[in-house]
Amino acid sequence: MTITQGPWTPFAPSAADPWDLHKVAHLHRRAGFGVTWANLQHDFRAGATASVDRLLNPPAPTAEETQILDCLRQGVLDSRDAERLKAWWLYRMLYDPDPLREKMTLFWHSHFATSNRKVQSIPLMLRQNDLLRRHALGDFSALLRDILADPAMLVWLDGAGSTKTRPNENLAREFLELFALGFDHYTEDDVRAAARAFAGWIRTREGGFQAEDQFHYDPTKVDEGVKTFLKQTGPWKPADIVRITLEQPACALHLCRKLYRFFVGESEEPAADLIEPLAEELRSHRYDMGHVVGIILRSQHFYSRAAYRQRVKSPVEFSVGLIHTLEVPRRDMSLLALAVACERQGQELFYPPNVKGWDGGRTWINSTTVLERGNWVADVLWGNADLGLKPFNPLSLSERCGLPQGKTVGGLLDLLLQDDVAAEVREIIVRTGADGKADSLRKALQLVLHCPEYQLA
Amino acid sequence: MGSGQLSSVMRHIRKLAGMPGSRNQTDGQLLERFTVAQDEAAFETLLQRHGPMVLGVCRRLLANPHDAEDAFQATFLVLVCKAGSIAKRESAGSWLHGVAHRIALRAKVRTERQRTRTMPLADLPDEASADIPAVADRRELCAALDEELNRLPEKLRAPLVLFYLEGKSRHEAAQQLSWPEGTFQRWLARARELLHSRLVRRGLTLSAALSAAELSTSGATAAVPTVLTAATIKAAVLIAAGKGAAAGPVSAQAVALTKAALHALFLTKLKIATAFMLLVGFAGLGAGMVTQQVLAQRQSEVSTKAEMPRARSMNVAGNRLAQAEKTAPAIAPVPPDPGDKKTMSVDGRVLDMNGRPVANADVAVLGRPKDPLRTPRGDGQPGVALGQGKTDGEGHFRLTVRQTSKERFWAVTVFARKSGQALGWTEIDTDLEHAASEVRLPRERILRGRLIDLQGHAAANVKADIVRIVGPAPQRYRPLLKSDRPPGGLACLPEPVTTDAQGRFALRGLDGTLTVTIEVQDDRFARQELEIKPWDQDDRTETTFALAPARVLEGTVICADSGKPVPNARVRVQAHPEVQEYGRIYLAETRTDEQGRFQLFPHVGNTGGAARVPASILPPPPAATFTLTVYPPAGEPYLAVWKGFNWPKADVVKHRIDLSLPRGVVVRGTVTEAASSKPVAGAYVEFEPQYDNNPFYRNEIVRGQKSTSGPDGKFQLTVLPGPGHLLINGPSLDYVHIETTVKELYGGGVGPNRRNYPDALVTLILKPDADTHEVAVGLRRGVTLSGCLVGPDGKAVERAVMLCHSYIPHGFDFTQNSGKEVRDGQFELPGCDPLKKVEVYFLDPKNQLGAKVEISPGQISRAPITVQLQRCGSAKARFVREDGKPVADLWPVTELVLSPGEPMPQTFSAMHDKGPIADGVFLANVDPERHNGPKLRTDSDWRVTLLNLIPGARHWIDGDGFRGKFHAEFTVNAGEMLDLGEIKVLGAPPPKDSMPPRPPPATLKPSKQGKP
Repeated sequence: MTITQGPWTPFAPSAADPWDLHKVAHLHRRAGFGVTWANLQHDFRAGATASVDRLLNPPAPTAEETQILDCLRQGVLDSRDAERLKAWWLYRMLYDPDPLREKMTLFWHSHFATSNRKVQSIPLMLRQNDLLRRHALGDFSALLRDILADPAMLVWLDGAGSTKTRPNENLAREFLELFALGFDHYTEDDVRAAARAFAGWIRTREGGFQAEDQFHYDPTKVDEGVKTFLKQTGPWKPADIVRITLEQPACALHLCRKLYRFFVGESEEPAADLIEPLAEELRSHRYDMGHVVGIILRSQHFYSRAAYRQRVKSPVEFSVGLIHTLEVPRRDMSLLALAVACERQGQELFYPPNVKGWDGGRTWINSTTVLERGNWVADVLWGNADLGLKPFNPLSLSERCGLPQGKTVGGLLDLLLQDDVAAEVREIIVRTGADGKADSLRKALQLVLHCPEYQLA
Repeated sequence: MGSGQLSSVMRHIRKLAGMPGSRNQTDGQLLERFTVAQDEAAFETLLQRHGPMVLGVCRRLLANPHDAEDAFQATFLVLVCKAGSIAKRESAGSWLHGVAHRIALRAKVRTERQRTRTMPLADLPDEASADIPAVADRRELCAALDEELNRLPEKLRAPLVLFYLEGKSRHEAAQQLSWPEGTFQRWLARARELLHSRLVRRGLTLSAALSAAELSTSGATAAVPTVLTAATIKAAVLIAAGKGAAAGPVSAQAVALTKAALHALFLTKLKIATAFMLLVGFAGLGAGMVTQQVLAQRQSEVSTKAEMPRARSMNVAGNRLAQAEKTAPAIAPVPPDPGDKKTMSVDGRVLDMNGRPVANADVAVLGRPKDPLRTPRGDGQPGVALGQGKTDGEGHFRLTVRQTSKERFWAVTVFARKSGQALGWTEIDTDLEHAASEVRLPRERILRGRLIDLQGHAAANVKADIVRIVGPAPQRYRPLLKSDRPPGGLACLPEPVTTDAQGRFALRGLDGTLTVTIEVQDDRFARQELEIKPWDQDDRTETTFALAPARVLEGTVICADSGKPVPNARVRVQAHPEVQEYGRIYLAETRTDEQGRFQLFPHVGNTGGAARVPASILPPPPAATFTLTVYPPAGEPYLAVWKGFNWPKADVVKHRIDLSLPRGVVVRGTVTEAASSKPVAGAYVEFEPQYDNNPFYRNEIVRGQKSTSGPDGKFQLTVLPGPGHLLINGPSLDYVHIETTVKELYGGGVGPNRRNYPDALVTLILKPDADTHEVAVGLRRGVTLSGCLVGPDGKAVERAVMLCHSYIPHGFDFTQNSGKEVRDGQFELPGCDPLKKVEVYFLDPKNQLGAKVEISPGQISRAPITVQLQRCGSAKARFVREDGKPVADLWPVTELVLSPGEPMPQTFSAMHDKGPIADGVFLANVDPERHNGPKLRTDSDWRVTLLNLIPGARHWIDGDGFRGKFHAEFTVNAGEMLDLGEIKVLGAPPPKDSMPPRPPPATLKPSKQGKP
């Protein structure tokens, strides 16, 4: 199987399998954080290719947007408040014109899972987040090289202070197992060799009270000796380790499996012949992540039943998507409350549970997290003064979407679920909001958002 | 065989041999053996001695055995790190108990935070499923026991820990403390009694708590797991070898706990002085000549201090008071501040940036006052407007304002501004009666900004006040205008700003070199400061700020006894932001309504970019990030209380805390001048309970109730029942002080035993149900010694510093700031006791002149006197280890000793066991040019030279840190260079390899080298 034939060939609409609202919404759920009514209609008219192109080549932010982003970022640095850091990223997920980049940043955040619980530094976490965003859809080899020199990662996996006389193996082990190759593709000797090659980072502070910690690559602590790593022998440095690792077939396979799980489906392990062509593309395009993500998003496999609603929405996807899709006005909501809602549902940004990141999939759903999802829906729809959330106005959304009177509930079902509900459920929802009053519409929305189908991406 | 294997074998052999040497040694000796020779066996003995107790403390607080073991390891790693400062202890048991308790508490907070988020039910500890209520009760009992134990002074805690928690016999425990067995018995009984009384107040009994402690740890002497012992020893060895624990066999959690505890200890050390200032006043210069007899005489002037039955003395005082009230109208009160009556004139010109006079400009004189004299120094006062006016057609102005002085004001500044031009200013001499100034108005730069919320939405119609203006770089830490609420009604100061619909604002009237801080005043947002730095930007830059959303704190204040609401109580919430800025305190304050309800908008701390302490060197976020304090309205018989709390969650806007105020006893009194019975207005009165034996004292009660006497000399305050003291200071420096000590005032265990010098002292022992208690206080007015200060050439000395134990401008004790500047050869020393000899010290650092003067009682009233300064002396010394090897990189601190006593101990626990601490001044504070910084580091010949030493005065050089401990006393003659020889440094680290070898000296002089 190759990329030019089989499931990864680009999706071509047909009478039997048209480009419809289901597919538009599916694309935005996977490549972003849900879709507004206006974008749903726009991309429906634009077609699949144009829609994916727009996600891969988004418009640049305006000067005003840039100013606001810079200001919020500075506020995070000044306050050193982890909650504001979370709110800042959620702001980007909600309002940045490049949602795919934010989505990929979230992917890398779980891939290179680093927790502030150990790092204990907001500036370093922010810096790592910037790094992940910068390389999100770029060259994976550059991302690997930079993450090995990232201060937050150096703190997290004890890379800082690892010297030629006392090389620490934590970073090397996770590099091989989690970041690049996957389990069973390396030996303990390879771990030791990589640890020696990564040694040399030290952490210092100079300049008194106002100084921040500095991370230096100290030539005197570097192991210049010869190492044998993945059967290649030489005086390897970090860049060599990255190069040799990327040469391993297992590396591209490992990454593509994770990408598949993130973008396509997580219900079952993808067959090897499904992943091989993607991995080959990744290798042949020098680990250009944007290229492979583009292939996935354009493919007929991506729009097939094998992918459609085959993932459980993560708490961030669920909570951010709700705000985004309903276009909750900025003045009526609180990003701090949104950050806490995600945490309560099991995904605290900047605090992944361990080095493996979030397991995702079915683990997102249990009795507690379902209750918390319901609480967030209720808080958004009915408001919660104690959290700084004002009640949602469905009439205003209906008006903005141009939904005709008496068809409001149907329109909202199209927007949120593309009518993917059983007839009897649909009837209950429509009946609940039949009188078109704000409260009735809120109740109807609450039913929609509690549907099992809405929990799926 | 590698060294690691070797040491392991050695350890095993010693263990087999029974370690006879270790068993008989004190903890201090063992610690020394471990730190000096890295003797693992010594550390193992310490672990065997105290490990079970420490593990018990940790297990009692931490349900998860892994958490308990982390806390256990952290405790012993802290012991290793702090070994130098506690090595002289006989037993480290009580110290370890305190550290273990604090570490376990910190670990508990951490794990509970984590657990609420992540812990599935299946992961609950086994015991929880067995009998949850019983375990919870037991935990509560144990927690109370450890908490109360931890609050006891060390002398009381040590026997309890050894006897009850470590299961030692009386004989063994006494031996370990190096106490006679009888002494041990007495202290144990006293400790047991006090602990019991404290537990009873919490509704518990000592026996129940001890049983619970024993149950929860399966016996006091439960063994520490071998694996844990081995890992802890290994980590300790790594640390002692300077390799750090992170690489050792300890968990990240244990390392984090160790670091946090070390931070806390470091801060505690810093806080000791600060806290003590708050408790007692400021460090005192000892008047060593005030004898007990005179003290008694002074005290007898205070009616209730007499050794009479309490009720009777109260009646006498009450009768006298009633009589005084009847005749009061005929007596004129002593004015509270004679300086207020005087005026000074400030005149000058206002010019524009081209030097042309500016007509009709607004001019104002603003002062930054210090705290009132003889009150404890706090955080300073808000700026006050002393006067304002306008310039005439030629740009001239002349303002008559009240006289200022260095004693009362940090700085006085003339501000001027005219519409279209920026604010100009110039600082004037606070001590002059006639100050001339010229103010230049710079070019105006409109500072533009924009406010948005965290969602990026414009924050429209938000008002922000200017709270601080800081000058260009050299003055960065000396604000021109610093106030939580700048003085209102001053035409020259820029107006507050209000944002438009897009959240934009423009701040006019300032130039581009200043840093301006504005504070948001809008209930939609939290109180927060925003810093604008126009010097960092071009003219058109708009600074955008994201505002943190409001947090609302609500609650009700009630009386603890009746449950009735407390209206008009002052409620204050202080934020402790994780990022702290030097010298900033973030407060919000309000008063309760008729139903005792309050609503506050806590501050979030700074959001600007001023100098900050990076999070990495701060201790972990405190257990409480806010402190709520409630003060009852004046005159109510209730006590102020405080409560620390964390905001429940970032998304919570409203949080509620209810508080109840415990009942106290109202004390009323009158302050008069002893000789004339004239009432003294503005006298400062403070109550301090005796901490070590006041059964009513609780941590949440605000200490140090304060009051000031009114024009009729009367004061009132509500105090804690039980033993305590009223400390009274007159409103000026004119009153004679009495001498007491911290130990006499507070009992043991509160800090260094410094001398205190209030103007009067009243001892109180009040019952909780007592009615209003009346006291009468007499103050004795002293005389003012004045004179001329001349150099050896007979000419007036231009500038010098005068130091005297009786000159204490703030608080109750002598501080490093207590020196008084002498100008133009004229000095004045108020408040001298005409019956006592006075010792006064003068130093003119610039001309290297000094003198110690003893003024006899007869001379004091015969003013003025002339003092001739002499050439200062100097001293040199070399520093050597005990083995005679040199010590490099040592920074000795030189202190001028003004009263005899002990040197300041370096550890908290050692402080209260000492006799009175000597009053002294670090010469680095008087003469930083020659006594500060690296100049004092030992040179290549391991020698220091100390310059500018006052002839005839007693000096110390001290050191007590990780570079070793030493102490030497000496006196120099005028112009003399005194050779102190070689001074032994105890516990100095081994010399570096690169240091050149040096033959041992032929003779070593004793470390305390005195010279007449």
